[in-house]
Amino acid sequence: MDVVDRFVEAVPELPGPPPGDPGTLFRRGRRRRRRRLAVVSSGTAVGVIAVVAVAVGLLDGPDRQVPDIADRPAGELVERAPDAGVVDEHWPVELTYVQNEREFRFRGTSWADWSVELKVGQDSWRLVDREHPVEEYETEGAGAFRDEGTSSAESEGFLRAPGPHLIGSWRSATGLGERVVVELEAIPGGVELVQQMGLSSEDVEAYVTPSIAGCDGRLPDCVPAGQSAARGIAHLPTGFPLFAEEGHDGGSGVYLEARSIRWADSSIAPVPADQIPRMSDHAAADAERAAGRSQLRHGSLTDRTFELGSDHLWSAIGHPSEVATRFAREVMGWTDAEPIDLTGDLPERATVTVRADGMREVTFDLEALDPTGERYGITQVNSRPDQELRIEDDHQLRWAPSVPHEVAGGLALVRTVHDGTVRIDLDPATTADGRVSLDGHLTAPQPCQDAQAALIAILDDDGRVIEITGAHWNSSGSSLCP
Amino acid sequence: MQDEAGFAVFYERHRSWLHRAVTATTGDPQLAAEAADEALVRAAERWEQVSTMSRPEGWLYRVAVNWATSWRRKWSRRPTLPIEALERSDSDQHVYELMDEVRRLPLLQRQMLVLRFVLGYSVSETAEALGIAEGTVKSGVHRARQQLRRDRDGTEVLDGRG
Repeated sequence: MDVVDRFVEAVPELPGPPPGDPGTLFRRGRRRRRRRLAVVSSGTAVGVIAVVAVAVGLLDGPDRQVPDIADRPAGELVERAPDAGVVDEHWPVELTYVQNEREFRFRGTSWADWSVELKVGQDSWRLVDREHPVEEYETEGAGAFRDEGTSSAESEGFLRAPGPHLIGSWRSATGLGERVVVELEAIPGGVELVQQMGLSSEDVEAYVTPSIAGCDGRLPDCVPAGQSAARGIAHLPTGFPLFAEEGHDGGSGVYLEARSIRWADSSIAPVPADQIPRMSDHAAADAERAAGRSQLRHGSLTDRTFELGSDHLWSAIGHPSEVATRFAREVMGWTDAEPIDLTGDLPERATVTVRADGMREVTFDLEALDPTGERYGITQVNSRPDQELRIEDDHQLRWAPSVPHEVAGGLALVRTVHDGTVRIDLDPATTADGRVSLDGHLTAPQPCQDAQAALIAILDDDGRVIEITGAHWNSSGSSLCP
Repeated sequence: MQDEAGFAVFYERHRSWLHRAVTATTGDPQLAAEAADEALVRAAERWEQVSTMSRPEGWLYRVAVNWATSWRRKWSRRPTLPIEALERSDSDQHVYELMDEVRRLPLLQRQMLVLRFVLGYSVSETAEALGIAEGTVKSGVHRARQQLRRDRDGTEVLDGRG
């Protein structure tokens, strides 16, 4: 029986869900709907409709109430920043921001004319979202849009906020109905962030969720046990979000951090969709891929092809040449690595050759593993043609430091250990064709079981990385975890 | 009341498979239960539209998986109950081994397998549900199948040999 058939047969054998009550879920859903419609009927500005809807739609966990924001001036500080999307007299706006390690650029002159782009190269941006009215609100004057990009939008034309990358996270993180205004200084790093953008504290407004008002330390240290909280900074003239951090007991994460903001400048305009290649341009991608393959066959430095594991993931954002360069610098330790040859400049797939001083060139084959270009699989297509690789019984392999451990799409990629060192006891054996087969035991970082795959860097006597390989384990047993 | 009764039927029809499909995708039954319920709440919120869908399975699955992965991303330290922690009999062993192997696939490939084979979607329907090209579905399924075969063979404990 084919393995997929076995999978299909196995799924129904998984444990079923715990008991539930359809009535409870139905009423919860209808309450959400009523709140959304109540906002519409009360004549609240259309932008808020979208914001509230997305906030409700994205808020996780318990069903939260979303009271009118106008009723919530907290403490002695009164909220002044308008909601992004509510006012239109301050347009146009250009905001660049980082979210989930990706840099985006929002440009717009009104909520009927805006775009969101993802940075894919040094000066290269790719459109990921743009205005697209949803029928339900079209007659209300727009303000709610379908996500036309490749993000994890719900399908079927259901409501999305304008620029889900921009607004949704900020609203859900800061807690639309649960925030109080605080001094900017209460958010560590807030003053510096604002200054970096050429703004002053007079240009922004800072918020926190009420439970952490008065705490100006690290967010995880402020959050009461078992609870969650958030902080945010908004740009006062426009209401656009500049910073959002959400924390819970023991941890926190920054979901949005602005890099720059410009407004009231007529030169700002959203980018027409037809001027930027879309991810859906598969025909072009196929052509580029074919070209890349051709070059590989004829341009390889070695007649021996070495593949870096299977589907080793490298979560990086940007143009493929940047991804490959970062990989070489951060994982291989080639601090002066530079891309020298790029075949295929589309985000989906590319072949990039990287060179570093004193090192052989290495060619990577990169393929975006999801349609947003958020994650690349990297295959090293040529490696270690002639290098002398000394493998001794007590060979010690140094791990590239300062690269975080990360779980990516179910395949964990270990790129560091706590002390920057991974020790592998190798049991080298030479295969019939002269290749060295590596097997042995890895003293893996903890928690070892979190990592299902590892990249292993092999160094020469000078401590330089001359080869990257990978390892993973399967259910039959692992040699990586103790 | 008519809507609520209709939703109850919908709930009974879809909750169990949805939970299992998300469990197979995320490897976390607890998270899957929450994700399935969240998807059903959203279905209730948009009941007028969802109730008219001829095949709401793909939408439910995608909403649930999106929610689950978003939750996991946000709350990476949230304690979860992995599938391995469940009580299991010897006869179930093969199921968990297989799920363990599937979980090592990239998320997108796992979603492709569930949509394509568990839910019986066509290549084009799978592509549409995931917002990707049909060719991507074909290649992704091919890769997933190859990887699972390799894992089943259990011959490659160490990959990428030099």
